[in-house]
Amino acid sequence: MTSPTWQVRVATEKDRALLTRFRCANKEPWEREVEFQIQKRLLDWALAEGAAADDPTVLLVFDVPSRALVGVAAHERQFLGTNALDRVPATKIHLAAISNKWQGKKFSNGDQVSHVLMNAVLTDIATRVPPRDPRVFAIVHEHNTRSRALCKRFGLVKELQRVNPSYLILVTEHHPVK
Amino acid sequence: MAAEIATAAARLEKSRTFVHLLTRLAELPPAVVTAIAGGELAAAGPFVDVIRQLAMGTAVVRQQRRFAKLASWYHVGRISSVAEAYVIVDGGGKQSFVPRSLAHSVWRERIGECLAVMNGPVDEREMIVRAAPGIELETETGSYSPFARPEGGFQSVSAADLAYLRGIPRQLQITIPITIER
Repeated sequence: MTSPTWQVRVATEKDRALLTRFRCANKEPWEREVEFQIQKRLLDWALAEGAAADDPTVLLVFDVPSRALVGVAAHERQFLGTNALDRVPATKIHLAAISNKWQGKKFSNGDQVSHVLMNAVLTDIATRVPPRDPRVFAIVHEHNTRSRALCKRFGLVKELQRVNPSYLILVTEHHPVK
Repeated sequence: MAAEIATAAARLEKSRTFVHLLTRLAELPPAVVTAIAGGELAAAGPFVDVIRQLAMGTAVVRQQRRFAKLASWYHVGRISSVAEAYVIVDGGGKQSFVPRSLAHSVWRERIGECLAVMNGPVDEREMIVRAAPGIELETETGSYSPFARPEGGFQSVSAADLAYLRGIPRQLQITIPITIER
């Protein structure tokens, strides 16, 4: 196994300018939505007063040789339920995006960029203190085939009933309790 | 210029978003579609997401260098003041004084409503001014953002889905060891 040529760290307030310059959108509206969130909203979402209860985290993936910001991902604690009393804990992958230049690419050690990004998110969720529920979900635009494929590859395979006609809620597979 | 605009418009009308909008409109009674297309409805209601996507796509085209001249031909904003003979439209750091009758003709004459004004210069001394109804896209009513924190502290799911979620979650599929610096 070759040593990683990428680095993952948690974003801080100091990364605001870096995120403002992040470009991941091509022509699709859902790509522009994500880019807009990253450039304008993400740090406020993570660092806003009162947000701490949801334990929001923003992860940045860098290419070490070029020091380029390659990917951005974020997650937080949420609940899934029918009402405020009848609900189960979960983690929402708030977003995951790869910069235009790196989409579909590999790092120089051969690791696929999208796989490193998803592994970073899932590792952070799995190693959270206090522990997070392994029930993970993401909300994906129905036409966003690349994100749907990536979610499927990393186990977000079950589609829940939609709350909006254009967006899917994809969640990790569950086995019935015997 | 006109040919370029027509080509750009035709391309937008072939987009998946536009086709999706047409499909959804086709499900409605003709009178409702006419009211929406004519601007009688000030907000997009259930169409807010698809119209917002279409507006974003249109904005990208409009900002292209070849259409820069168009920027002086239209003004989109909200009505900030209403007088007997005119309304003032504020938007993008500019103000337009629009004859009240024009605003009335497109059902927009209340403060806060969205109104677009298009100026077609005929020559140096003459201009054709046309009002167009704006559609509210920033309202929370009927809008949906996958990035918003859910109201009430939980993401709403059906009872059947909740029953499924009470099962045992499969272990997360981590395939590359990752060290996260904090």
